Formats: sequence, C-alpha cells, structure tokens
Amino acid sequence: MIEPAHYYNISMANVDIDLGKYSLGWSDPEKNVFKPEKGLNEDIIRKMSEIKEEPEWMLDFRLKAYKRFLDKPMPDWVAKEKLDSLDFDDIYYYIKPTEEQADSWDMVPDEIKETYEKLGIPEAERSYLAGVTAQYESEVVYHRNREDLEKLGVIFCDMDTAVREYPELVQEYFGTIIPPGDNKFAALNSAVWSGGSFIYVPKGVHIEDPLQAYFRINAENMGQFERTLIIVDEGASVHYIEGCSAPVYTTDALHSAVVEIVVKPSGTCRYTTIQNWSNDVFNLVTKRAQAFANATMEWIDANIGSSLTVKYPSVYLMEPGAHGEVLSVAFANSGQHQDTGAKMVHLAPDTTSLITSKSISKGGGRGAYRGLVRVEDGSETAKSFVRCDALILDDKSRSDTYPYMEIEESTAEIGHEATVSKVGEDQLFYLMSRGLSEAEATSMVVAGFVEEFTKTLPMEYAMEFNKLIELNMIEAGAIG
Amino acid sequence: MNTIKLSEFENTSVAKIDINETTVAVFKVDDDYYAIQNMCSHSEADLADGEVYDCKVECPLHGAEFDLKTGEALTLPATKPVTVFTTEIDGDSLVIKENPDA
Amino acid sequence: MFSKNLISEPYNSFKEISTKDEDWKYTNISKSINDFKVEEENNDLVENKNFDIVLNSNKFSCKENENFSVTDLNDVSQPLITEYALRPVDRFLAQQYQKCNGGIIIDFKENNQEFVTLNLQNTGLSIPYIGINVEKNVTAKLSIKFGDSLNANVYSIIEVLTNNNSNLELIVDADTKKELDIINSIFARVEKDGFFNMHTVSTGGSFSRNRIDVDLIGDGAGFNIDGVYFGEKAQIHDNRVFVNHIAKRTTSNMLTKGVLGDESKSVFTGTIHIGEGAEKTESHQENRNILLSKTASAHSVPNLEILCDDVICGHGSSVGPIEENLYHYVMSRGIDKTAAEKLLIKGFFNEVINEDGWETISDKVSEEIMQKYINVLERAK
Repeated sequence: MIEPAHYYNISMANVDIDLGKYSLGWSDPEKNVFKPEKGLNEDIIRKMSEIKEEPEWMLDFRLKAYKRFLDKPMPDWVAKEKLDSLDFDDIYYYIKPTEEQADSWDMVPDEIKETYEKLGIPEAERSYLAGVTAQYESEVVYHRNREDLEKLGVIFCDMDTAVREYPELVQEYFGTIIPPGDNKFAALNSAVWSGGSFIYVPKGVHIEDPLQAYFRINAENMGQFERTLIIVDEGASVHYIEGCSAPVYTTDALHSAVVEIVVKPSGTCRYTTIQNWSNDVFNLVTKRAQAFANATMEWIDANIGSSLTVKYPSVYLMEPGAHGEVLSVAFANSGQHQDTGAKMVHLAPDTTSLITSKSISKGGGRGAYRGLVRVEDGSETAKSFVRCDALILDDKSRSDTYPYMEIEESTAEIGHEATVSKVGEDQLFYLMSRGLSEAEATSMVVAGFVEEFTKTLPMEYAMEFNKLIELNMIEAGAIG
Repeated sequence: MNTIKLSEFENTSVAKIDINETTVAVFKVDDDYYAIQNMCSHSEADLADGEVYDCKVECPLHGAEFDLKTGEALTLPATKPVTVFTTEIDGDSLVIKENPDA
Repeated sequence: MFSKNLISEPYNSFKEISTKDEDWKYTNISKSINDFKVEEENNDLVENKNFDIVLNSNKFSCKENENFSVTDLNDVSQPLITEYALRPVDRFLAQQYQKCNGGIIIDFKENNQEFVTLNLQNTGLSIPYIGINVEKNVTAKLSIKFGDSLNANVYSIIEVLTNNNSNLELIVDADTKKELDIINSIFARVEKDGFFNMHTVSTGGSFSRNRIDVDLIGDGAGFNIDGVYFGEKAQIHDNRVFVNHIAKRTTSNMLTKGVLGDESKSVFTGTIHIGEGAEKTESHQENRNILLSKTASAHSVPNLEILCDDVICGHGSSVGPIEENLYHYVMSRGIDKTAAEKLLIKGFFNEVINEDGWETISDKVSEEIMQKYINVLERAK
C-alpha cells in the first residue's frame, strides 16, 4: 500500500484542508499584491500590459486577440457538456504575487518558498537537474540561470522578461506558429497570457541536461495562461520538461496555455510534459512546432487528472528530412475526460512522423485519441506511422479513437494501427499468484503498458510518474 | 469583364469578383487595391471576411495571415501562398486580371 | 407506399449538407444532394432474362422462385426498419425516404444455394428501395448490380433484416461504365446468432458511395464486409461503415482494399461503436490503399468508440505505393516492370476476391481491375 504523504515528505500538520485522496492538493492563504476582480475586459488587459511594462506591439496583439476570443464560438465537437459549463466571467485572469522577480532563492517570499518546498524544488536544486524557472500565480517569481547556460549564449527566462529584453527575437516568431485567431482558447491566451518560458538555443549548442519549469494554479478560480516560445537554432538541441500540479477546489479552474516551437535545420527539440491536474481543472492547450530541414521535434506528453484535457501537440514538417514524434499517455479516471492526440502535417519530401498514443480509462473516465496525419502532394517518400493503444479497466469506462488520415502523395507510406483491450486475466492471475493484490497487479500491468513513455523521462520524473499511476490505480474502489 | 466600379468601395473596403471560376477578393487599403484568391489556402474559408491591417489579411477561420502584395503565407497554420491577381485602374473602374508571373 | 406519418419532419427542415459535415467530408457532390428531383415516374421496365429480378424504382419483374417472394413497396405501409425513416440522420437520408417512389421487399423463406441476382435500371434519377428480410434459420444469397442498365444517378435505400440464426450474403456490385453518382444507404439489423456478410465492388460511376449502418442487436450476431475499389479519372470511391455492437458476443470484420489512379480519391470513414454491456465483442477492421498516380489521394478515418472493457478490438489502415522489394522479387524472375506491377496488383486484390462468396464475380472483377489499370497506364503516357 503506497503512503503518498511519506513519499512527498510533506508535513501534514499545517494543512487544514481535507485532501481526500489527492496528495498534492492544498492551497496557501492568499497573499497577493494586486488582485483584480473576476472576468475579463479591455481595461484589465491594458492594466496588465502596463504593469508588465510591455511595448506597444504586445498591447495591440493582446487587444486584437481579445476581439478574436469574443468572436469565436466554443468548439462543439468535443466534450460539449463540460465546455458549456465553463463560465469565463467566473475566473481571475491576472495576479501578481510579488513586486519584482527574484534572482536568487533567498529573495523569494516565504509562503512561495513553502509551496515550492512542498513540490520538492530544493531537492531538484541540489541534484543535477538545475536551471529551474518556477511559476506561481501566473507570474514567474523565482528564476536562476545557470552560469554555463549563459556562457553558451542560451537564453532561458520567463516570457515577460523576454518581451522586454529580446524584442526583435520574440517579435519575429511570437504568434506566427499559433496566431491568435487559431481557436478560441489560443485567442484567450494571446489576450491574457502571463508567464511561461522563453528559450533560445544558439547554433550548434547542445544542452545536456533538461531545462524545467513548475507552475501551479492556486487562487480560487484562477486561470493559467502561460505562453512558451522555444527557438532552437541550426544544429542545436534542447530538452525542456514541464510538470505541474494544482490544489483541490470545487469550482472550475482553467488552464489554457500556448506553446510555440521553431526547430531550425538539423536542430533537435524534445518537450516533455507531465500534467497532474486536480479534478476540477479544464486543461485546454494549443501546442505546435515547426521543424525545418533534417530537424527533429518530439512531444512527450502525459496527461493525468483534470476534469477535461483537450490537447493535440502538432508538428509541421516544413522541409526535407524533418521528423516529428508524439508519445502520449493519457489516464482518465472517474469524472475525467482526456481528449488528446497529435497532428502531423507533411509538407516536404522525405519527412517522417511517428505517433504513439497510450490511453487508460478507469472508474467511468473517458479517454480519446484524436489525431491527424496530413501528407500534402509533393511530400515524396514521406513516411508516417500511428499506433494507438487503449486499455479499459472496467465496464464503466470509455475509450474512443478518431484518427484522420488525409493522404495526397502517392509515394508516401502511411500506416495506422489501433487496439483496445482490457487487462488480460492470465496476466493478473500470474502476478497475484506471486503475492500481489489485484490493485497492485493491475498497477504493474498498467506501468508496463506505458513503459515506452516512462523510459524517456529523467529518473526523478519517472519515479514520480509511476507513483502517480499507482495512486490513480489505488483510488476509487480498488481491492487491497 | 473583370471589373469592379470604384464607387463600390465607397462604403466598404472589400469586394468579391469571379474570374474564370475562381472567386477573387479585392481589398482597398488606403489608396491601393489588392486582389487575391478568396479561398484560404489552408481551409475552406473566405479571406474576404478577414480583417486587414498593415497590408496583410487574416483568415477568419484559423487566423493565418497572408501578405496582400505577394500572397505569401506569413503564419501557420497556412503553409501555401494564395494566388495573387493584378489590379489596374481604368477610368472609374478597377480591372482585375490573372497574374502572368504566377 | 410509405405512410406519410412515418416521416418525422420535412426534409427541408434539415440543415443543408456541406463538406464541413463529418459524413460528407472529402466529397465533391454536396451541392447536388441538398435538393434533388426524382425523374423516374412513369417509364417502362426493360426485361432482362439474365437476372432473377429486374427493378427500376417503381416497376419490377421477377422469375418464379419458391425460396423467396417479392412484394411491391406500394403494397406495404412501412419500411422494414423504421428507425431510419423516422429519424433520418441528415438531409440526404430524409430526402431518400420522402422522395422514394417505389421498390420491393424480398422475403427469403428457404435456403438458396445460388445467388439471386437483381439488376437495377433507370432513365432518370431514381431512388429505389430494396428491403431484404431473411427468415429465421434461413441462408440467403443476393447480388445487386449497379451496372449498364443504369442511365442516370441512383440513390438507393437497402434495408436488411437477418432474423435469428439466419445468414445473408449480399453482393453490391457498382461497375457501371457511365459517369453516374451511385449513393447507397444501407441499413442492417442482425438478430441473435444472425450473420450478415457483404461483398462490395466499386469500379464504376463517377461518385460511388456506400453508407452502411449495421446494428448487432442479438447475442452472437455477426457482420462481415469485404470489398474492393479501383479509381480512375476523377472517380471518388466512398465507404462509410458504422457498426454498432449492442448485444454480447457479437463480431465484426472488415477488409477493404483499393487502388487509386489518375486523380481519383478514396474515402473511408467508419465507426465501430461498442456499447456498454456488449461483452466479449470481437472487432477487426482493415483498410488498405495503393496510390498509383501522383494526383490520386486517400482519406481514412477509422473511428472507435468503446464503452465496454471485455472486448478485443483493433484496426489497421495503410496508404502507400507497392513495396519496392516486392517489385524486385517479381522482376528478378525476368518480368518487366509493367507486368510485375500487374501481377502485384492482382495479388493485392486476391486477398479479397479469392474468398468464399466471390466465386460468381471474381473473374469479372479481376478483368475489370486489369482493364482499369491498363487505362491508367495509357493515360499516364
């Protein structure tokens, strides 16, 4: 039997909220500098832009995006009931928790430090996984650049700082991969974005260790709209990891992020996400990358928790030799709906893509794979393979697969395979005969099912991920 | 004939005309006129319904921007350009023709 | 004829169809199907002794046979399966039921070893209704031809009811040489231990579409569909297959293969829906496409909706050229590239047309395919 509290080394004495079965659920008493009212209008956007000291073009961008957000209808092809319950006027759109950004750990306010200690950041500081940019309440509070990164010419900072300090670089790419008019939630993000990471890796630079970020939603009805832009120059490579958690609340919390990535010729970028939202969060994300000649873009995505996650990481394969990969794991538990997948657009010859999707549904949860492979005429000898596997753990749960294949190139080789099954009885029998409870045995089978994903993670993440899976397996009516 | 009366632009800055089975969107930007294919190169959407600024038009469906002068796709999700047509003022009309360079 | 009370709402209260609709995505005819007129009111039937049954939409003739009986649609008050008429899914289907002007219901009462053959004919747009009822414990075989007796577009409704423990083998053969639109709405209900086996051939017409909805409502019910299509010029071969696993121990299998040349296009969309309680369902789907020409294309969206855990379900789909190494293998035996390609295409389709149930048409289909391949080659020169 797993003891979540012991694993996370939390002292439960200070926490007065009943966590139920969610170990990372708690909130700090709010201590924020500027707290606007709920809802959104042009004034709030102007005020936000002013506080951030943004250039004119960014304010114009936000206001234009706000108009798009108001004009666009809600999507009606996914989770209609849940989306209909979303009340945009019942959300805070911007909070600034401290006066200025801290440059060293000592400068960070105590309450915020406590939150990060609970998340385990000081440990990460001591380990080889350094270079953390942390986000709290829509704002990057603590940031520490590693000296070696600076020496290499790597820029790794929060998006707000990037807009002020690297305007030409940002303006060249910002909004060109995901324009504000792309969809309603990208428009919302474009209007009220705050925080997120900006990474620029110069030509030929290979960053060995992964760069990371943590962020959380804290205030009741807080929305999170971080915006990330990553530019990997020719021949460079970077691995970026984001993992996040949120406390338990009964009212909806909205997370609508936008991630834009450009990978220039022969560059490599891997973007890993482990999302562990609590049951009330709506997680609606637009993630898109452009890969040029012989570049590689990998999205590695784990979605656990949230009331609704809608996310289709995409790669546009622009020039010959470009390669895109998505490795995605979604775990839908009771009351949760994961509608995730991938999009690969082949626009040049000799491009390749690989999509692997593993979906697990349990306790009435609903997991769906929704994806697109589009091969345009002229993408000679392009190759794409999609593999979606789904595991349904009980008869209350649901798994759907909606794979679109639009192929207009006669020399392209495209394949797709999908399977749906339950945990095999003989597998369970074998494991239980060796002393494991049914829950533990099922948990092992599920861990094996997602192993392809887990082995791409750095060790601490892999451990945390496996624990998260176990936690989910043991919740909700397990035996043992 | 492939003409539009200039007076049609008095109350609007965009007009549509069919040239050889292609619908063309004609935009008036300050004192200049630009003509491009109406159908977005990315999805079935009318560029004539899009917002115009800085000599660019934004597709109303997914927000992709096109350069009105060259037809080039400036942002994703559009990846292909739109066909550009030539415009010439002839008296009180605007003449639109297929671009011989295209 | 169909009682007017059966139709729920007039067809023009349905939203107009466009290519933005999921069911009509990738097609090119949405404009012509939002409001069409039947032109086949009073015409003469052309006799054809080669077929057991000859049908234009409101007249038919039938050879004597004790294994089945044929009823004129004018003599019945409602279709075999009422749900689709009562609640049509879209404007096209609503029109089909409301504008249908005739047809037949074939009732199979005794086993028949040979295929009963049915030939469709028309001189103007027609909407024939063909109801197929197979009585309990009966094995029936029916082959419907959409061939050269058709001179205009045809939008047929085919309803199949396989009762307990019965078996229907149905061939739908669309090989007309004319550039027509053939749009078939096919509905089937399979009762306990019933089995519905369909073979489809789509080599003709300019737009050839089968929409197939199968409800497996009795325990142990099964559905199989295998089919071939070959596109040349600007043909579109469109197959929409929806299988609804409702009862326990139901099975479904699908294997469709096609070759696309010139600017032709294939569309495959389908959903396998496995409902709660549909335990021990087994379902497999495969769709394989070879693109021969640069301007050909294939679109495939094989959806799965699974609400039950005790199932085995899988599907596979592929689009691509013939593998290089297969060419090498055949050509290393001294055969030139064109002959090798012909052999490989033949081999590609044999997996389907050499199966049981194809015997009566496999030679014809093979010849048609080869001829179309030669046509594509000629045009490529």
